[in-house]
Amino acid sequence: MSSRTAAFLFPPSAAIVWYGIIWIGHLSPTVLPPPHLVVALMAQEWQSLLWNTYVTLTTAVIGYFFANVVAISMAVAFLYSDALKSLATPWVVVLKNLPIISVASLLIISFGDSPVPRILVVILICFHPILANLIKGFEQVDPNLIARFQTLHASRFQLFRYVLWPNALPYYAAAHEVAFTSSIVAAVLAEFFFSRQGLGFMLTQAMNDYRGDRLWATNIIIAILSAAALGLSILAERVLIPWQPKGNKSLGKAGS
Amino acid sequence: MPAVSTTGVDSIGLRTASPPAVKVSSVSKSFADSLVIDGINLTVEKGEFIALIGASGCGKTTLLRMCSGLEQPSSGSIEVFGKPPAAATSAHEIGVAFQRPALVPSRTALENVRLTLKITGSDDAMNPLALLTHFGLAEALNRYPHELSGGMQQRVNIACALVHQPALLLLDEPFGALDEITRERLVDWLAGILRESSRTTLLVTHSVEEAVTLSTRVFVMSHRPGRIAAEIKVPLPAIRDFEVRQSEQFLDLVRSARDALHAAIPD
Repeated sequence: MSSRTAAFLFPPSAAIVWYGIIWIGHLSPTVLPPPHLVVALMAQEWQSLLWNTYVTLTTAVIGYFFANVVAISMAVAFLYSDALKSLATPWVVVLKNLPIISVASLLIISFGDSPVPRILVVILICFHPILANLIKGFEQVDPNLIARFQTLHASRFQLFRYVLWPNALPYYAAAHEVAFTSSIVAAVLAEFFFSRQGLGFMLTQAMNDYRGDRLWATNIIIAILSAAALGLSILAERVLIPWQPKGNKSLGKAGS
Repeated sequence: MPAVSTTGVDSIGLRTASPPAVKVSSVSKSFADSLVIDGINLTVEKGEFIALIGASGCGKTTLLRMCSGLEQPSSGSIEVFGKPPAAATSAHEIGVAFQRPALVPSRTALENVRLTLKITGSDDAMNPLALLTHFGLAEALNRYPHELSGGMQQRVNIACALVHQPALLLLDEPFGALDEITRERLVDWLAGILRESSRTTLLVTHSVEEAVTLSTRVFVMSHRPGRIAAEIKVPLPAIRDFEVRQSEQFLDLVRSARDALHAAIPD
């Protein structure tokens, strides 16, 4: 079966499993609302859901943009300065390994109720997979190719433009599969802790109100956004990197 | 191939010796206290085709890399057309092909050759399209390197080494990674390509037949540290077709090169 068919089969099978669990466990709608009630709520509250989706997406996209800027700048700087790489490594390691919840609490104290701490949370979560993959892409260049370009007296800029950057591109594209999806999760997480709008805020409200249907509706939207982010990343990879050997799509995964 | 004179006439009419293509003067090279090359002297005149043979790890690749400016000798000096190798590379006088094809994976065969021209900025160079067609790659122009067979990749690689018309071509076991039949065909093909030009070529190989088929002189290197153990002149006709390669003279040359190689490498 093709992965496309499997993807199309997923929503109906999820609904069947969902109904099945309610039927087997004799669960009341307050414990687990059935799909048709959740869909009804989505139809009823679509304006509020759409607005909050817009808020979350904005945070995710802005944060993701800056995560890319930070990661690309760092990777290129590290490529040309070993000293900078050594100096920055402890920072990167600490930032990457701090529990994001504790960092988030520090950020809200410093920045208050503004979009800044939420965007910073997205940057903190997303920059590392991009940085790690770019560094790997620069390191995995064929040394013979660099040697050949040196015998042609290529400038540093030519070497970067024609050899290093194209070599890192598949790794960069593979990073988006991880990092772009994470940006949605990161934005929701940030809103969950400190926000008066966005899907994360909707989750906290629905929890406080014991509104299972609204909770489920929000979660479905988050799942759709994450899946769309993944799909977009894979599509961009196919379009932008036509020279990638087939069946070697995950070549650039350096992990997060 | 026209006879190449090593003397020229300068602007005031005096006969002056023009510098040889490559002059290696008592060059030694060590890596971390291990002596790889020990006092090599070698002169390659313009238009010559030199083959360097020796066992794996005898330093022949290192010698080639020093000629292209990628490595520096620990002592002694190397001159390419009377200049340090780095000056020869900045004048785009050197073309290099390594054992493993060094192609940009994100560019097609044609784009790879064009990129070489772009970097060297050569105006008088060959037309990449015509060159690749001449190399039998007309069908493969727009394929990416990973879509080409090993033999095709190596032909593109050699096209990249030739397209900017370097006066010196350095080939480091260009057929070493290929299967027997592909290698034999490519040796014939390369012999044909290079016969048409008066380019100086330095070929590193471990195949004695390949060396005798292609070169005008064969240098045999000893093992650890690398020294020139023997020099064999190859006075064969320029076109070395199947008939020439079955001749007694060819087989004698191969035999003496092989004997020299065995003598150079202790058991």
